[in-house]
Amino acid sequence: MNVITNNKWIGQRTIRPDGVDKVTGRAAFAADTTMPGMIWGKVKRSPHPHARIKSIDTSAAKRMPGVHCVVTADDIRNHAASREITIWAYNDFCPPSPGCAFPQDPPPPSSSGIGYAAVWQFAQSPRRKEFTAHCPASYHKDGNCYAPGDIAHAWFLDVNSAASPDPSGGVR
Amino acid sequence: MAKLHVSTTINGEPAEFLCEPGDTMLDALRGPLGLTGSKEGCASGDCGACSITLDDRLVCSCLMLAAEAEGRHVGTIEGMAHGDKLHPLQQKFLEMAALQCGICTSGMLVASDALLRKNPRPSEEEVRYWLAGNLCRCTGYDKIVRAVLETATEMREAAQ
Repeated sequence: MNVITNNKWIGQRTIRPDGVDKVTGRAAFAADTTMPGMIWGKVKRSPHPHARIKSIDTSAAKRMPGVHCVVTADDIRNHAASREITIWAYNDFCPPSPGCAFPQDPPPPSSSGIGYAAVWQFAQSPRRKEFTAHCPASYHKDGNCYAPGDIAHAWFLDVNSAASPDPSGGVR
Repeated sequence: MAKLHVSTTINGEPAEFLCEPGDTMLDALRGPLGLTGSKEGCASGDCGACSITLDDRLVCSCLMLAAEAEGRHVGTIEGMAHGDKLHPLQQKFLEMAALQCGICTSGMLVASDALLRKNPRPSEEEVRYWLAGNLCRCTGYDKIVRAVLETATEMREAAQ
């Protein structure tokens, strides 16, 4: 039997590399850091364990002193639209079927010819039947269904697909 | 409303700061005083990550108004080590891996220190009871409790 006698780590008690900073309170976590002109953000989470958001009224929050902005999904959608972001969606779960618009291998974002292109992956679990039943159509800018491989038409999607009935909001 | 001017003592050094009347001591520590070792976990006194001492009494700084520090002695995690020389609790936490992410660690150490000052010979049950107000989501508490017990033993031996 070969016995390793000169190893440095196996069987040894080691001290965490960040340990001293942490036990002295010096370790800088994200919330411990400041930058010039930095403002603070806070995530408002649902007070309900299970609910659907029908609308969000941000007016009272915006009126509070010192509030710079209140951001909701609408702002993301509008901002994305204004920057001509193209969403390249592909499905990893939706079983390929006749007429399914989504390729199994997504085209590279660079082939969109648009600088802001980003790949967004939509989760389309087959378990979400109510959604996947319409998945080709609901992700289409023109509402049409295209055969797999029809790159010319299929993969330009606008951000409004985030308003899909997908429980995740359509966006991950 | 005008800000309040507070004169206090922090980790043995005189300190002054300005605060709003509604600011918590944790706000003051992490803001104007720049002492970010005390963490805000829950801001409601449940988690103990903001534990400090006020005139040697263990308190949650998130439940204390900053203005209440006037004329008092505040102790934070930053005052626990002496220069490069770690407090025995800090050293033992390191050696026994009684920390992982580190968010609860400051509060655990401040609270453990307060315990050992009050009771240098705590039982395991007493340690667990004392630290019941300090939540850790990483270590499972066992290593923390063992580190405190072992430190207590070593500190007693060193004192003899």
